Amino acid sequence: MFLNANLFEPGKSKSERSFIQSAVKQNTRFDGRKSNEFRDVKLTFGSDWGTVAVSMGDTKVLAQVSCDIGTPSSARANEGTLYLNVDIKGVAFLDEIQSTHDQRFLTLNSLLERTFRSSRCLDLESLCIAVEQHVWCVRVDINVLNHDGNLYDASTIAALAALMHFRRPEVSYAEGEIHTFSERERELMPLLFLHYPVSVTYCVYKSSSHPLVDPTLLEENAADSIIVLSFNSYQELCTLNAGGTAPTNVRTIMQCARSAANRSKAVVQFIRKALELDAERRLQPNRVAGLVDLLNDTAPMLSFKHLMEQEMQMEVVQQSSCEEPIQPKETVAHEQLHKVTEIAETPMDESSWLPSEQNLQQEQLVEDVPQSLKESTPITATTSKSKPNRGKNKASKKQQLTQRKQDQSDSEEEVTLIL
Amino acid sequence: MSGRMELLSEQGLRLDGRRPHELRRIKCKLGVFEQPDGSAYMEQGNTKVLAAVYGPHQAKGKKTEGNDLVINCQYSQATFSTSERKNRPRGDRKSQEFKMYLQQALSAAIKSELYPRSQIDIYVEVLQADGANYAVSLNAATLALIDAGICLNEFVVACTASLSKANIPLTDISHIEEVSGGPKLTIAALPTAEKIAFMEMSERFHIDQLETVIETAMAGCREIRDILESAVKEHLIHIGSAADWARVC
Repeated sequence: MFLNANLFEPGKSKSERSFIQSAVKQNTRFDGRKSNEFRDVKLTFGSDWGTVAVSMGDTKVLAQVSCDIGTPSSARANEGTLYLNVDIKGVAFLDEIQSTHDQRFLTLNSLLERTFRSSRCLDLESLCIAVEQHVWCVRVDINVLNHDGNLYDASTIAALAALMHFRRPEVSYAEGEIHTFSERERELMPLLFLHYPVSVTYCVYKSSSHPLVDPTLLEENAADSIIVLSFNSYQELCTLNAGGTAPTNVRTIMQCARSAANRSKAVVQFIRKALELDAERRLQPNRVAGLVDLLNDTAPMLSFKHLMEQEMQMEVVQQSSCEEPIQPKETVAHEQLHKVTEIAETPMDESSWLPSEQNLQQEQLVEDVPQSLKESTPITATTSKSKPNRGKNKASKKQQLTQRKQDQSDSEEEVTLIL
Repeated sequence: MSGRMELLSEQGLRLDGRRPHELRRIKCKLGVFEQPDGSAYMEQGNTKVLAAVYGPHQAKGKKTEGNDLVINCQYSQATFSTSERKNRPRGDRKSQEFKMYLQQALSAAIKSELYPRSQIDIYVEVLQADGANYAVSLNAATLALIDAGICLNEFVVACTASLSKANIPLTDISHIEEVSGGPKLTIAALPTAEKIAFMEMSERFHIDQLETVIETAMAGCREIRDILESAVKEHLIHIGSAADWARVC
């Protein structure tokens, strides 16, 4: 019984492997995506600063950031410390052979460390309180809730979003004593970043020269080689890891690198926008939802596809969310019908923490824009993935077209300036 | 840490006097041990690595799962290999990582279809670590595999590359260049097939430089491959000659 243990994971049996190899050869994927199409990324921020849950398809990851005052290492006496840890014990399959489990866990940890620590994404010197004595020690704990492939990407997005979301208390250091101000005395401060890295994973198969992006567990286990690239928003490569039984040539890697760079940029923008939306939500007088709502599927999820559709249409880097809320109130009613599946999680009835219109409002405001701006500025290759969604939203959008157009023309001018 | 120090002087010389595209001096020897099926010793500059191969033999224990070849690697650094005594020669995170990377790279090179239900053990010991530890270990492991008579698709060779501040690519990084904070790319490649079996990088550099650095590392791999090949040929001539009959086993 236990000898066949690792067959419980999809993609490890020979028949599955050969099936996937031939499917990849014909350029088809099981969930209907194209080989360069990503799954939708959904972020949910918790009520504590620095907690975020990320879900990409069925892969779900939870990240939490905490900080503490400690002593620095002797080699880097003026820098704070950052510690990242991924825990996949929760999804350790009961049949896992020790070595595979360790390997996955190890690569994940090493990748995260290289992406965030070695590439110096946080400004650690700003975390110093007193040289050689007291520094902030930031710790990111990532728990994998469900593994459906591509843990690398989900973890990096979760870690980055959590770090960007996190606020630490302010301290004053005088005469050898540290005084920590509570939240009521002084506002909490965010962490300073030097750059924002995000990773993208590709799977390479022996049967085809086109790598698949964002693999599901089935595709990942059947893959011959896995390439993980981490780019930041300045198109700098932070981490690169390519290995497996199928050797790849340089050209494939460079192609992957180029598309990964674009994708990383888009994801960082998405995280920024999601943070802004979350900041607005917190300003509401009602209780901010914690992550417990995830269990009931009542938590508000900020979906990449929706937030990014606007982006690609308008190419606006900073989405001024204030323009949006004016709009959707009229359209709330029929918007409900045309809800696209990703945001269907937010129910209109039981959420005691936000009035339902407001809830929809958040989602609508991102749906509004794309349709009206279909005709606007030419878009980069990333639009391909939003096209299916656009079709669904079309019907509901016509009313807003006229209203939006005027607003858009203004923002388009902004667009060119920002970019 | 304030930016990295200049790895390349104005005269175009690196910290150890090499030119940017120069490899360190390579010395290698096959068949240094009697007991293992294959062994090799390799020096690249000051980095000295020993590799031993046992196999192919019957796969033991849990590893008898499928019908495939099991490649079992162990990467270990002697306690005296670094400037400060290394408390844990093997089993720490770094060693486990390198172990995995070795497995990945070698699985691309060994003809696994010829060794079903078998296991090949590869033990690598770093005697002196002066940069490019993984790369030299992989090269030594390749030589040891050849010495053991295991069929390979091709030589699998590893090389490191980096960038100076002026964006000039440097080949074969030494330890001091590593810690100065510059980006470091390690490639394990099959040079004749021009394919990459394993690639890993740290620090960060711009995507436009990526291609140049990869090319530099590949060129380094090709050079190393030629050196290794001549070493193998020399070894064969030596053990095949009448003077060494007593040693052949």
